[in-house]
Amino acid sequence: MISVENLKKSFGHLEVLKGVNAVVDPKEVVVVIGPSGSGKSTFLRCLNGLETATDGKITILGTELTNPKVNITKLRQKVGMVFQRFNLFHHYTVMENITIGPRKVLKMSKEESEKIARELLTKVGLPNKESSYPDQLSGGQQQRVAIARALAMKPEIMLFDEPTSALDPEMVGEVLKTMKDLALEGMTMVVVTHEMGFAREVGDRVIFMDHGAIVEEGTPEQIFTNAQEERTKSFLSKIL
Amino acid sequence: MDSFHIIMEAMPQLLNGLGRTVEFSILTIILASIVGLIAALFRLSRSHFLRFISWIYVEIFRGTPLLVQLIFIALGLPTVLPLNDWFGPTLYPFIAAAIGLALNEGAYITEIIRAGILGIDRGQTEAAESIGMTRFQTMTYIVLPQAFKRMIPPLVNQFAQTIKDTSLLAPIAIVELLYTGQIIVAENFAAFQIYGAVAFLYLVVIFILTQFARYLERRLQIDKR
Repeated sequence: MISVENLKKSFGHLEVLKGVNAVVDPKEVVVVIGPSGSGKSTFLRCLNGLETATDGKITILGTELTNPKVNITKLRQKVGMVFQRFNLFHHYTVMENITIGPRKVLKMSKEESEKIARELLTKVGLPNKESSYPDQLSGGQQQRVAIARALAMKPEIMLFDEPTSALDPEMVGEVLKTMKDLALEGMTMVVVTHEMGFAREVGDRVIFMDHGAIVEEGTPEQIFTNAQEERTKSFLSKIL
Repeated sequence: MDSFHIIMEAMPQLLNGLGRTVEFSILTIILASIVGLIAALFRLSRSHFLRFISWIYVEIFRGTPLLVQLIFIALGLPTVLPLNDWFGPTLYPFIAAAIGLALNEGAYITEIIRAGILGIDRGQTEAAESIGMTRFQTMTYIVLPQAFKRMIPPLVNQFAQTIKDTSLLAPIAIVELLYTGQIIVAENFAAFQIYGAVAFLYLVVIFILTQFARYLERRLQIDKR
């Protein structure tokens, strides 16, 4: 579903990704962990073209994203993204935030898109917030709206970029639950997070990144209880 | 005759001139906003060529005095191009005035719009692109509506400036408010009263504009961003 070959990314002279190889299978939940500055967010952002790869090859749903001739806009409709800072559209209501993609990009009717939006709002546990503005919601609520906004496009893959890092601790749970439900429904997910509980419980596979490269990967069991690499062990001992 | 009667007697003529001033102001504000929006989008585009065009345009029109631009377009250009034949010698000065004002004010509006767009959090654009919006859709539905709200105060400032700048049309013989005042003073020599009334009328128009802007800003505060 996603295949990444020798992905390199530099910002000026700073090489953030130094040749990353990874494969994500359908319905798989891959959790990417690692210290800040390890390149995990950049890696995720490359997967929907928010960052342009300096070198290497990324293939998503059979389309080569790194080919400059590929229509990235089209591909992004199939790849949802949830951001650390939610990035809801401040000037739109919750309903409009969710329906604008289906309406403008998929040319769906207002009625149909609102029907889908209401279903999604119920699913993320916010059925009566449709006419609120993002700034009237708590962080956790905003992030759940952001998840609904991404899901409204009926994506085949969902990317999460530290979705709970900007939340107050008591709101982390509600967002993680929404993500867990999504995983149980069989969504293919790549999640960059510091939530080791989530990685353990929901992840099918854990990738540990450091200094722009994948150091180690395996099942949550292998990584958390039987890490082979010294750097993995040292990182886990600091945060667990 | 006392001052009040002098002003009242001149008032119909002054209001006529004021009408012309308001017409030019509205026309300029509309044209300059269009020019400014296009030039701002050029400036932020990925094309080196479009960015260069926009940059040159702003530098030239911001870097030379408006009065010089107006005189150059109205009186300089017709000496090398048969503009007066194309448009007629009565119409061309009006076209020159409108174009000169629009291009000059447009240069400042370019910078206001550019700053407004750049002031919108990059995350808004990324979120829009992540749901498959094109650059054009992102601009139209996400960035510009939010940027516009922040642009209101500097735009109003610029529009007030535009209204005052129309007084520079007097030297190129457009009979707007100031020129009307000069004509009246040439007859009655009541410079104090007439120019005082002229200044007051500018103040009234600009006051109406700023009050409207205040109302608009309050209306658009709904989501406080």
